[in-house]
Amino acid sequence: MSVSGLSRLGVLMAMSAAALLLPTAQAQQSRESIFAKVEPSLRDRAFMRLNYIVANVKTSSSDARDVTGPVLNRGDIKEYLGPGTAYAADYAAGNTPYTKLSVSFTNGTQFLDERLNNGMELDANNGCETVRDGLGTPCGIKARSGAMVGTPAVSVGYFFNDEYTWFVEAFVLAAPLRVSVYGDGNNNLNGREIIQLKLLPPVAILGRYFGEAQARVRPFVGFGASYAMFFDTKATSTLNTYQGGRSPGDTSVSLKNAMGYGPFAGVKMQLDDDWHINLNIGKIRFKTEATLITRNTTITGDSEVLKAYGPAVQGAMQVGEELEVKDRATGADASTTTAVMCLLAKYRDGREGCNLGTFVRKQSTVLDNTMFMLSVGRRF
Amino acid sequence: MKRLLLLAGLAAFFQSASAQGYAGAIVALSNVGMDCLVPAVSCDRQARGGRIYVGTQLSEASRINLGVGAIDGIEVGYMKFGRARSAGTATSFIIADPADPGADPVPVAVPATATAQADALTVAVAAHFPVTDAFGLAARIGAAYVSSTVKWTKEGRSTGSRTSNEIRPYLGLGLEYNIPDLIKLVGTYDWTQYSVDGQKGSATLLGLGVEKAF
Repeated sequence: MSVSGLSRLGVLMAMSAAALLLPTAQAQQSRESIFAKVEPSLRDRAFMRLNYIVANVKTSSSDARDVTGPVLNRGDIKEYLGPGTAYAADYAAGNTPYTKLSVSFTNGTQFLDERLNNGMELDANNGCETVRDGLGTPCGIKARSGAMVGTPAVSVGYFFNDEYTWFVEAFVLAAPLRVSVYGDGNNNLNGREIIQLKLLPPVAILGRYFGEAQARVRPFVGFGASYAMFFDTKATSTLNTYQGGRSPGDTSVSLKNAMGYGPFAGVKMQLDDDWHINLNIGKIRFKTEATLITRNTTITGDSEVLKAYGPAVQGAMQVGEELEVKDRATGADASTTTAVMCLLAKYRDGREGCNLGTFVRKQSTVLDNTMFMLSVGRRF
Repeated sequence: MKRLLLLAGLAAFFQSASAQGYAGAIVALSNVGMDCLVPAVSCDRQARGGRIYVGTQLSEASRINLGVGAIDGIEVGYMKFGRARSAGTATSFIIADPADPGADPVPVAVPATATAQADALTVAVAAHFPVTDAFGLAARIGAAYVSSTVKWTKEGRSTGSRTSNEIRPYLGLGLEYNIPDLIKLVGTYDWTQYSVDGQKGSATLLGLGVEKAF
């Protein structure tokens, strides 16, 4: 749904709620019947509101970082596929799955190792420090959330004094916000949906109204706190494939729940003794951290993530692809990158089927929410 | 300065107040003093912005008489500054010769943009200085909770953004023309500061609007 569509929906819902809740004779009767037994002093100071909340979210994300180390450490090719290795012995015996990926300098793994090391060094010197020690999550993989989300909510509040100045309001019931997270940064994930999640951010506001209790229009300022609970967090197939997940569901995501604080300001317009309309604008900042776990990581020559590396690393890979590696079983041409990663899975990690194992990445994100709340309320 | 603002805010906060409320809306030309890209192809710090505000007049006993006028109101508001934009170039690295992918990358200049925008919640005390029965001046001083965001693109793709929130001083000046029993026409100049990711400067609104008492 577009932002303008969402805003219109919010206004329509609030207007509908207002129309439904406007003080009618029936409503008056209902009030008497429902709240008649409530202590009068409590009833006079307590209020409830039906709100529609629209949050404009700005995301500041750090680059994703490897926690368990890069998929390909610098020197791995030489260490596990170079001279004197189990791979070299198998190659000499003709027991390796690929031909022509020899350990010789001019036509094999040593050559590739040196080109890649040189590429990592150059790209690191040109600003991508994370590839200096290996190839893991490329530089500049960021995330941003959808700009606008909205939800209806019910709140209850209480004035601490007879002047109706100091109050506390708690949002006790709200539909979870559905949030889509998109890739950001100069890479192939930019603009593509990578994570879907639900967010429940219960909010409490402590504030003070200005003006006399009977004034029709009363501004207020306050301080709000919220505890953001993230749940039903899912990585999309786009992210799973990008991370190297072999099968759907190989990548899982979790976000830390987060406490947020910020100021609120707004106005209450009294319609009659009981009913009012309220408009709040508040700002709450959440700092959270996402953890991505990808199992059964499989990287091939076609993997999109390879296109996000710097030009020197990509150049080294292109040169490597010219090595004319062939699948020994079928005799067909094979991608050098695919061959190297499969051989590393076998000779470094001890796994068959090109499975490089499980990798964990983390990403810190700050969500700056500007919350617009339109509500219709009444005293108990 | 910050302590003075804090004291003024607290004094206003705990004042017993009022008799009458009012609300206003301003459409404005905004200026966010962002640093332009170097070298810059274009740099436009001006855009459309606006402010909405709600105030309450202090009771007679609570007003502070200044001789030619009085501090007579407390206002809360929301200011939205438009997006300042700068276009220029940034350095990117490429393989210059496709036939030689193993060659060292070379730096090239690629199109880049930077944008900065800000919005703010404000709380202020308001002073009014009548000039004639219908015409007057207004001044506001208070604090603003300013959210500032910068975003960058390189070759048409977003390369990230940063947002920061800070409490900054807020000042406002205004001209007011009262149409009795109807509305007040207002012209305002609002000033605060923004700061994000090493960039900082003034953020201003110059606008026209209306105010209605309730």
